[in-house]
Amino acid sequence: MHKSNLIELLKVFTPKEFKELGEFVNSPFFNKNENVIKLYNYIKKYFPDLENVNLKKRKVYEVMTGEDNYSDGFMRSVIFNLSKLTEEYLSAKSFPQIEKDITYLDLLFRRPGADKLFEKKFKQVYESFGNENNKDQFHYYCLYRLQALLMSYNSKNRAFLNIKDFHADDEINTLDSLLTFYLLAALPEYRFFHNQTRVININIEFNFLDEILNFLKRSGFYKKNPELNLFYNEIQLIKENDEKYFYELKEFAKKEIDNFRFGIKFNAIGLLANTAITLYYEGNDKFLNERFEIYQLILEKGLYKKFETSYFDDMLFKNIVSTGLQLNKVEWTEEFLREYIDKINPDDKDNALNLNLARLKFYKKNFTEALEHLSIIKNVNHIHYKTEIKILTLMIYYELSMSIDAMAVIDSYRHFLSNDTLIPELRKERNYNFIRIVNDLIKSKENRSLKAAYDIEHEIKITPNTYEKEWLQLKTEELIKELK
Amino acid sequence: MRKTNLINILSNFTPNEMKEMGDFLTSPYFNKNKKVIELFSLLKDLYPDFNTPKSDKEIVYKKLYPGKEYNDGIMRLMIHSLNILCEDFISISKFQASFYLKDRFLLEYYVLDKKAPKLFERKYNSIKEKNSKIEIKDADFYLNEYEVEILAGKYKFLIDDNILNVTDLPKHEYFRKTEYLKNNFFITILNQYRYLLNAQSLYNVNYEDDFREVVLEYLNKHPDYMKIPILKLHYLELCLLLKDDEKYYNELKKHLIDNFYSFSWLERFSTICILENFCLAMIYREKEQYYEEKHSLHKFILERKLFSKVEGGKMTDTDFQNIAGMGMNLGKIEWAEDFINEYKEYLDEKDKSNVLNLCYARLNLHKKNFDKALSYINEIKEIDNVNYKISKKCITLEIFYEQNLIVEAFGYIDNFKHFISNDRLITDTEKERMLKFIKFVNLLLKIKSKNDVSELYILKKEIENTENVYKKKWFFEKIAELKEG
Repeated sequence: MHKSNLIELLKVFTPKEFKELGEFVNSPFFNKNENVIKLYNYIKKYFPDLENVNLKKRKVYEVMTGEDNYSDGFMRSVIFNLSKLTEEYLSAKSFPQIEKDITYLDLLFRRPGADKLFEKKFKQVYESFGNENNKDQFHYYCLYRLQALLMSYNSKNRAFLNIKDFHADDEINTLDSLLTFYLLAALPEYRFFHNQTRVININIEFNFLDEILNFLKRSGFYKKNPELNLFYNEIQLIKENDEKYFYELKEFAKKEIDNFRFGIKFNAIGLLANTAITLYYEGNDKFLNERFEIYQLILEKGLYKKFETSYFDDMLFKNIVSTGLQLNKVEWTEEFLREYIDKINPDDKDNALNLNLARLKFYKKNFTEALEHLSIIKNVNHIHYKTEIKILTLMIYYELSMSIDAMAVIDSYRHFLSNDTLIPELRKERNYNFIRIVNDLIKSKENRSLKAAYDIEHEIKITPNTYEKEWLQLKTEELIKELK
Repeated sequence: MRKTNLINILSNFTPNEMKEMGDFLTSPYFNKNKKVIELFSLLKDLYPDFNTPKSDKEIVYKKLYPGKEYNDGIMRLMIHSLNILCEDFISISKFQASFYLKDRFLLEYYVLDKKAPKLFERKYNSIKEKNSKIEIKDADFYLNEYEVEILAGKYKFLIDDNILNVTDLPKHEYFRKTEYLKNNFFITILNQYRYLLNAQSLYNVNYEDDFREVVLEYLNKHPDYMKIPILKLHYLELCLLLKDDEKYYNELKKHLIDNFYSFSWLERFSTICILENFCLAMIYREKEQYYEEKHSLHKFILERKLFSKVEGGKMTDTDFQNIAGMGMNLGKIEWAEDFINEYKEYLDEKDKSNVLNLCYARLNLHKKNFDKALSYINEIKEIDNVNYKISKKCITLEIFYEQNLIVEAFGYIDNFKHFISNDRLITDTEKERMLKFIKFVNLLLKIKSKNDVSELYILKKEIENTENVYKKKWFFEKIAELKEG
């Protein structure tokens, strides 16, 4: 029985849930099968030790039936039934109150003679639902369902004697709730996928988005709801990629962010950070500082994890460290590393620590130590971690004048990029530009060509979409000085 | 206790529900209060007639707590507890039957509460397999698909956010979630627009909605959405309501018949209503063939018992009148009489007497039993539906005309005109139609009272040249009768 679905299910149960399951199994409304109750009671003796040898099927059969002529068919059937009941218990446990209420109202609506009951219950549910604080898209969907139910009820029962009997506002509210539900659900999806296309190479069609945006702009409907307002501004920023929208959203975020739910805050601030990165690589250097400011806001608001219950996002962690160092804020970065490293998922912590320490050591010019940290990193979980390691390794080799090793890294790096299908084109270009310029730097250094060094200096200026621009500029300046 | 919510709920229970409620109450997962079980047991003995002194609170209390003094607080609490449990029982019973909800909540538990990868994967795959076999893909289907993918996305980023190569990306299905959401939304909002436009055509209310045009234009440009039968149904309904074009009537009717079993009862019912309303509008535009068309729709409705919003429900008074009236207008008096007699049992008791009186009045009018017709009209008491009131007034006026009750008819015309002019719920088109009817009856009565047939030709021409006249055919019949003297 150890490998059964049932045992696997029960392994995730808390003691409280297991106790409740007992009540559920003993409820004639759900189960009248005595053998299922016997099996539950037997497992209860060993819970939570579900690996216990006494939970082998034959043993369980003997105890349950008092017979030794084992019947696998019997055991399979009882285990299956308890497993099914266990799933039913979990579903019933998660059945939210509003769903219960709507289900109940729907039945009253359909049942002849239950009008008074419907009206009384509807009033009670509608009032208490309106007082709910969490007004996400599902709130509006439930609100729509309640309003639509009322519309149907009225059309079935209301006597249309004069114009007062027709409540046009009810109908308009129903449409508004439905539209708000859809927009609150769809706009973040569009925003999320758009944002993802900047990070990974996915091709998504954004059908119907332009139509929605035109409508929102024309009607001002987005102003009816603060979340909708935020999503609308976010999408404008994504689509237009204009710094005007960046500053508008940043100001809005600074003032209003605390009024939103965690996921919305996380995504809004994440979008600002990503936009700052994009604008920086488009050649707008002031966005390095903007990016840093956004990271500070992220730390201040605790918005460094995808979910309230999850860990510090390791990609974000690495970005914060590299931005801090790019801006030469070494002390701040060291402090950040110390304070936040333990908030990373324990499974990823070692890699994150070594990668970020490698970068820190690099900036402190302890290149050998940096290389040592990089060599410890194993089993990375994200494609961008891989590129980060390659970039840093190449920079270290350059600093240590290990040209042959650097050229080998360049080769493997190029090979890796050409085979990869996940990195979006713009990011790939950023990587390729970096490799090309480092390659030129190494050659120029070897050939002692001042002209080539000047050409590189110019190349960096006209190629904003390049990783480690500040470092490349510094190295070129050093080379020019050396060759002059 | 007879007037409590609890008794009201229990009175609505079927015998089977009463039995299941017993199981529910003895289920420790929901209830551990033995006194509540006892209270239910006492009430169960009275079911279905709770209107007896045995259900009085004091008497029930005595049985629950023999020898103890009556405590209203305790009794109220018990009633309240049983009331809540009854509501829960109904919700849970419905929930048990909804595999969408059951599956989704289980999946949600795995993702959010426990982060159990294997269990999640297994359940996710079984849900997707189950959903792939569903034939009726309605708004709920798409919403469920969307929500399942939302959970899959959460699972992906919460449990396993490795992204090293393409295989680590969320499955193709995940990227379809916006499409699922859109399908749900289009189906739902088209349904709402359809409802509102239909209401607009029946009552004098106006809706302005910019977004409707956005949706329709988008669907026009993306015909692939028409592969979803329910979406196409609502789309065609809207086109018919907005463009008033016979092409859409035929397309909609064909789509309904071809995909009849792909739609819910309510959807079938609503579509039939729209088709019927269109036929009526065409009749008013003097497209004669729509009398037969409407009658054939009525036969279709009756064959499938599709005369109620709810399967197995009652027929509305208006529909009953319309079906009977159309049969009579087509001269199918016997068919209409059979219909009235066969289907009167499907009328709600509260409407039954008035509707039957109205229908029998009309039937007798057609049979030229005018006295009998008037006696049926006189039997009609309070009526609350505006269209229904109009019918009564029209029939009365016809009877007065037929019976040569000229003075009464003129008096009645004044009253009728006043009613139509003052009512704000009747649409402008309907008002116009009724006022023209009144006007022509008035002229006809004058000619009849003066016995001057010379003006008949002018009247006939005027009626012929006037659109949107109620009972045009009847006027021509009456003009012909007067001519013949």
